Amino acid sequence: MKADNAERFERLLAALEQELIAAQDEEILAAAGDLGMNPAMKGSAAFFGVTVDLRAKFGPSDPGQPAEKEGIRRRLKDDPSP
Amino acid sequence: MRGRGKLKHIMQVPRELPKTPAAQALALQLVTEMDLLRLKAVARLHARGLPPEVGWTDLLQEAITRVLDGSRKCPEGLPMVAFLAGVMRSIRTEHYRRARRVGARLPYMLAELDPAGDVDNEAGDPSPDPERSLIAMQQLAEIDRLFAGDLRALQIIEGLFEGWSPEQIRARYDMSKTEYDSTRRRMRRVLLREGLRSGGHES
Repeated sequence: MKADNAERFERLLAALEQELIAAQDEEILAAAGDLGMNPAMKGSAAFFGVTVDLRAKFGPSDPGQPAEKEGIRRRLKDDPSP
Repeated sequence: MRGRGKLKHIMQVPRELPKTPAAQALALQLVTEMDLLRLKAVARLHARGLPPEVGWTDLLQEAITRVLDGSRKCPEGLPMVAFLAGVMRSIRTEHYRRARRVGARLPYMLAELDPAGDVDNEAGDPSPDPERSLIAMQQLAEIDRLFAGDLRALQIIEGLFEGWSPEQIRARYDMSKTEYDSTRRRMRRVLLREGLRSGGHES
């Protein structure tokens, strides 16, 4: 039976994921260089959202709200809205 | 002077930013900085098609959190990057499964609210999810756009989508091994550029 489009797309994503995992350090540095980033520099934009949590940096907009990290976990764990 | 001092205080960026799970994993030497950049690109890839409130940073940090809190254990011998990529993939699948369950429960909930019982009830339908299928095709079109103008790359994308092996793709499109390998290198560069770019957490 032929896989449906969603399954075929997941297959494609898995194959592209493998490409990224297998990327050499030099290839990563070259791609970052294309974007004007130097990951070797402290505070490089390449790490924004990775080691630097941009949203947490500015804090919750409402002091009564829980921290953003908790919000992230809630979004991933709770049932999404229909 | 007092005013300027106050302004300086307000403008000051906190010296100690909160540590992300990824920063903790780096400190614990579970991954290298280069690994984190690989994972950033993988996270961006897997966040495609997810609702805007679930971004690539969420996928990445949640996967690392699950490893740090021990709820996911990396099997011996499996590289941590490959394991974390798999965890991100499973979080993505979990999300779709939950969304589908909620969608399936909806007709029952509506039927309870509808005394005439006119609501069409297809909650148990095991057929492929048409909405997810549509999202998949939209996402495929977006990936195709990344490689617009590179015919060989588009052919490889099509082959991977169909589940063909490298040999099948090369035979189908009359591609030499050298050409296939150099196209894959070009594709990796594009995917890495797309994955490493600056921008919001959601895309």
